[in-house]
Amino acid sequence: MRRLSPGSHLRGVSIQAAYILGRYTRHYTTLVVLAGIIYSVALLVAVVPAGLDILMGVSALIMLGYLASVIQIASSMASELESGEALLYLSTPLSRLSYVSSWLLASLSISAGTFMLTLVIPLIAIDPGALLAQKDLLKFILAVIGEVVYYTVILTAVGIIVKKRNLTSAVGFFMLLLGPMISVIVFVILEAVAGNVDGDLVASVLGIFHPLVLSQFDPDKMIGSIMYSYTVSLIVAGIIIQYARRSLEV
Amino acid sequence: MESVIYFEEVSKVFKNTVALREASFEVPRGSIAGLLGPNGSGKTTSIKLALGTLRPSSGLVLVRGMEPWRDPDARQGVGFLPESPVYPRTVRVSQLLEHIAKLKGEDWNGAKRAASLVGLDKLLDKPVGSLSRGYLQRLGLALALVGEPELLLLDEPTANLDPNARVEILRLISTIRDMLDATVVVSSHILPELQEIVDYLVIISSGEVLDYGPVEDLAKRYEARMVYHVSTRNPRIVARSLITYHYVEGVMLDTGGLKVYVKSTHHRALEEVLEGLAKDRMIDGYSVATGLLGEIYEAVVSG
Ligand SMILES: Nc1ncnc2c1ncn2[C@@H]1O[C@H](COP(=O)(O)OP(=O)(O)O)[C@@H](O)[C@H]1O
Ligand SMILES: [Mg+2]
Repeated sequence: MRRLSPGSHLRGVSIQAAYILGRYTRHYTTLVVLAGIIYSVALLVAVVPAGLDILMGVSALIMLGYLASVIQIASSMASELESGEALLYLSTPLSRLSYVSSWLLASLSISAGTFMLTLVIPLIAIDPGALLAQKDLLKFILAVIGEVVYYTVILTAVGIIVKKRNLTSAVGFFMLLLGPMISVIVFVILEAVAGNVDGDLVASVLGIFHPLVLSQFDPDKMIGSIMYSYTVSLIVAGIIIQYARRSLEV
Repeated sequence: MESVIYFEEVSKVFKNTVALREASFEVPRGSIAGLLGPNGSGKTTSIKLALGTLRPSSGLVLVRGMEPWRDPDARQGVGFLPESPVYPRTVRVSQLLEHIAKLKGEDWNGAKRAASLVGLDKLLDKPVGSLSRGYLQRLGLALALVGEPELLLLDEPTANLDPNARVEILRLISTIRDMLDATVVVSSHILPELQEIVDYLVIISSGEVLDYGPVEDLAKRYEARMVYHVSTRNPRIVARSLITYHYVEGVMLDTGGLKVYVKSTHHRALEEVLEGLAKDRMIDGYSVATGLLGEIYEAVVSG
């Protein structure tokens, strides 16, 4: 591919990403506001001892919500490629790489936006001390971002390669829900059969699907799982770039 | 003449189909080229290769001197109407037009101009999903026209339209091309409807380009009949005299005169006769309307 000036690439990416966001944010706004309110309530009840568990539960659910929205966006992209709508945009001077980058950017912007609105802003508004008191705050944030980026990049790669909405969301939901469940079931079965199973092995398998969860369960694995999610994301991003430049036909 | 589209031994292979086999042709600037061939002959594939959304398996594709698969800039100044376009249904007509305009480096005014060129002005606020087939096709044309392209690629623009909409879209294409002074490529598997608008042909069958060139040249080369337009105020008398020549295959009354069908091998002879008639003031003038596409096509395909 001939090198375009970075300006024209960035321009195309920002125009297309703004268009995508314009089409999807409306659907998310209500959900995000609702999640923000629920989280705020959970924060308020967190002062009572049992409330802390509720808060953890709500946070985990909201986190699942982000990942579900990542799946939704990646499968929308796949659907655009599947139906032929992508041809509408790719028949303009927009490059294939800019097109795919705009989906990545839109997806990450939605995650970042919902993260701020549902978790960070209520926390700052209600209990700013809690945020700062969290030890390993930086690592925690890195792990959260790592997990979102991990899902975004992997599902975008799946979406542009398979170009099928249903298959892309199936892969997404497998990673999100079934993957961890299956690793736990396998663990239980192995324990029943073999008696003693290496817990680390199961944790690692779980970590493939949810690096964040692993890092929260086992603080020793925090750095490792952060490194894992970012490394995989980088490699998969490289695959996306190569695929977009060489093989993405519409 | 300079070529806007240039294909040199271009092949395109999908998993187990050869959609295009060492196709070579060119489309000169300023022409309205018909890309003719039956279903599955490789018309859409050729158009998408020119657009750069498909990668040639081998060979060289140049559009305005650039390789469109490698260089998105080749699409600057190219308008495209897909064979079966898919639009986002919930987006408003104006939003979609403006978005495509931005991607082409234009602003809302560019989008508005394109919309009024095809008569979409009144539907700008409607969701795309609410438009009828005919209006969706106008939207498609408008999207292709944004940015006043110098090359228009129209893939079966009249397919799936009812006869009225078909005629309107064809008329629109002629008008647009005169206004923009663009090079136009129209693919079709229906020959008669292109008769009136094309002046250049690329004939394709089973992935092979069988021949290409100006309609007149092809008509002569394949001895297809040619149609002359003769303007005269004495059509009956002129017709009676023309019909006596053995190479005149038919004469028909037409607005302002006659349509004369002639074997292309004898077009010079006819022209001499017509010049004689003009000298005698029996006719006011004549012009080659065109060669008959159907006959050219038959001749090319049968080798
Ligand atoms: N994406 C594709 N994958 C596999 N085969 C294809 C694809 N696109 C076109 N073909 C095949 O290539 C041939 C030419 O198709 P096409 O260019 O669409 O023909 P036309 O537009 O003249 O009807 C057909 O046999 C068609 O089935
Ligand atoms: Mg076709």
